[in-house]
Amino acid sequence: MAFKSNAILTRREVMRRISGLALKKELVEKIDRIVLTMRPRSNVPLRCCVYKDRAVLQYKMMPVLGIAVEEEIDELMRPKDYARVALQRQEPVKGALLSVVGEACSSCPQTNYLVTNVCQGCEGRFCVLNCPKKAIEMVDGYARIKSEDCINCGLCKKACPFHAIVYIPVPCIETCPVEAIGKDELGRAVIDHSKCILCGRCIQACPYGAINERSHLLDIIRSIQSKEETIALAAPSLAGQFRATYPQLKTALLRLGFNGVEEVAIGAEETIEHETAEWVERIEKGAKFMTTSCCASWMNLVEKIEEVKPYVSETPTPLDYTVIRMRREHPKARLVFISPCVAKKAEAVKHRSADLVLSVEELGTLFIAAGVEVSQSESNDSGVKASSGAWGFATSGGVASAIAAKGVDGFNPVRINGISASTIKQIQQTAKRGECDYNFIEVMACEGGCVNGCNTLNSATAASTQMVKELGIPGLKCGIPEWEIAKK
Amino acid sequence: MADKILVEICVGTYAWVMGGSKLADLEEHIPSEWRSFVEVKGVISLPGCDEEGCLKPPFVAVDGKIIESATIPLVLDEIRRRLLSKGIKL
Repeated sequence: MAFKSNAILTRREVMRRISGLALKKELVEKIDRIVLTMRPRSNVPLRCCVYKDRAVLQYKMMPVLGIAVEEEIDELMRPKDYARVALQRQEPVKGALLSVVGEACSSCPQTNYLVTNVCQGCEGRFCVLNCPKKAIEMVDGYARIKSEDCINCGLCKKACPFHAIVYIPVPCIETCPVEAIGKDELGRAVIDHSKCILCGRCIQACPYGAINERSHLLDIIRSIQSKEETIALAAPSLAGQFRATYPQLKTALLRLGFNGVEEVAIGAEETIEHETAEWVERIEKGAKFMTTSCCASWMNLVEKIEEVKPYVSETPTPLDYTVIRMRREHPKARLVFISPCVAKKAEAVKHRSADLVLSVEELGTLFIAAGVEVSQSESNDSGVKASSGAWGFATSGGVASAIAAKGVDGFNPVRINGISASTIKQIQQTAKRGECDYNFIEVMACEGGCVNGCNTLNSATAASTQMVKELGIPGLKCGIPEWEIAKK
Repeated sequence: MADKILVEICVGTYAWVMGGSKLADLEEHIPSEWRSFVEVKGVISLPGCDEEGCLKPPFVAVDGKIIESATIPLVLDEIRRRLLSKGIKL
């Protein structure tokens, strides 16, 4: 079951309000009032007081305006000052796409084990006796962990018969598969961008909404309101994100102000053809296996694992093929990729493929701000142009299924359904050995595939079910085996 | 047999984006023994669906009773209450 988070809802509310003001060209004039409306003095504060709540909210607006909090020059700058800067920029954001709002970060303690008041001060003293570092003492008859000596082994938690010792994770650090998050001198989260693969899990994991994605929202609003031709490139995973058919979604996008909407799934048709041919060629030349390359987060990881590089497909991604075609057919258009994740945004920015990127979450807030009711939009189109195999790229197993459907001899695929520290280790070992039980490894960083990307709206299962029904994709029950994770 | 309990989930864009999508799996969480007594459908708008209104999305109506800031456990709890009040043994 997916759980609601106030931090996520706050982010969307900020996006919605900023989008609304930008669409009405009232952003600079009214943005400072957003904190007053969202955090009135009559509300029970979320933090120490309503003024802290407002300060945090102000900082959270910066990434929505496309500005990294780390770029703050003057603490006295107000949201309207940042809005002015954002509206005047000619180019979208450069630099790191993830920004940590230090004021929102709770500096979750790194010492992970805590004795709660369930402790009975028992005669057994299981925790004290079994701690390998003698890090637990009895104070006033109850156990207390000395954080300076604790090595976080967790033995005390296992030993306690009353379950009085709890494990408190640092959610962002816990969820990061590549240990890219550390702490500064004040205990606040800091992202090591050289290690970060932009999977975006930290964005969802932080209970304080402290980690945010820098947005192209304002740049996109300016483009769709201008006379410039602006075309939306819809990622396959977009189809399962709203309670509407794809033709309805297309109509809704046109109502927003896009001049055209293209299916990136059409680009996926080319990826299927070329990737199949590449696989055949590699196997004929003696390669033991090949991995996919369309997951941007996976490709960021590949950059850091030398051993894996020779096995990775060189076939361009569906987005690459789509952009090549669109640049030819609409040379003057601004291309806006609608993406399920921040890694894909970074890829587009780095490769200068799409001009701008809109996340699914941002799109949802833009629909609200513009008063576009997606599920009531007309289906003016006759349907979709790409095949169900191409649309299937949206879910884990989809790429492998599409190639399998080509009927190539000897194709023996497996899928990595979500990257973790364990799978990364296993992939490295497999690449070092140069041997694998399978000859095609489809890798998707997010469990469930792109439908579960870090800035999607729908649950992976619901999105997959919707796409199976409407577009005939294989979905999550595609039959491609999952990579077995070796137990530690 | 008693009338089915009608569960209406607002799937309007505002409710959907502001948490309603988390209710997409609601039917899967309804216990199998309840399913013959419950009907779930998506509706575009419910009373209270107002961006600046007093109620907080997402909204679900269970036999007309609006639940604001709805979550799956809250909705299941209301369904359970209504099943018991109809004398249906759980």
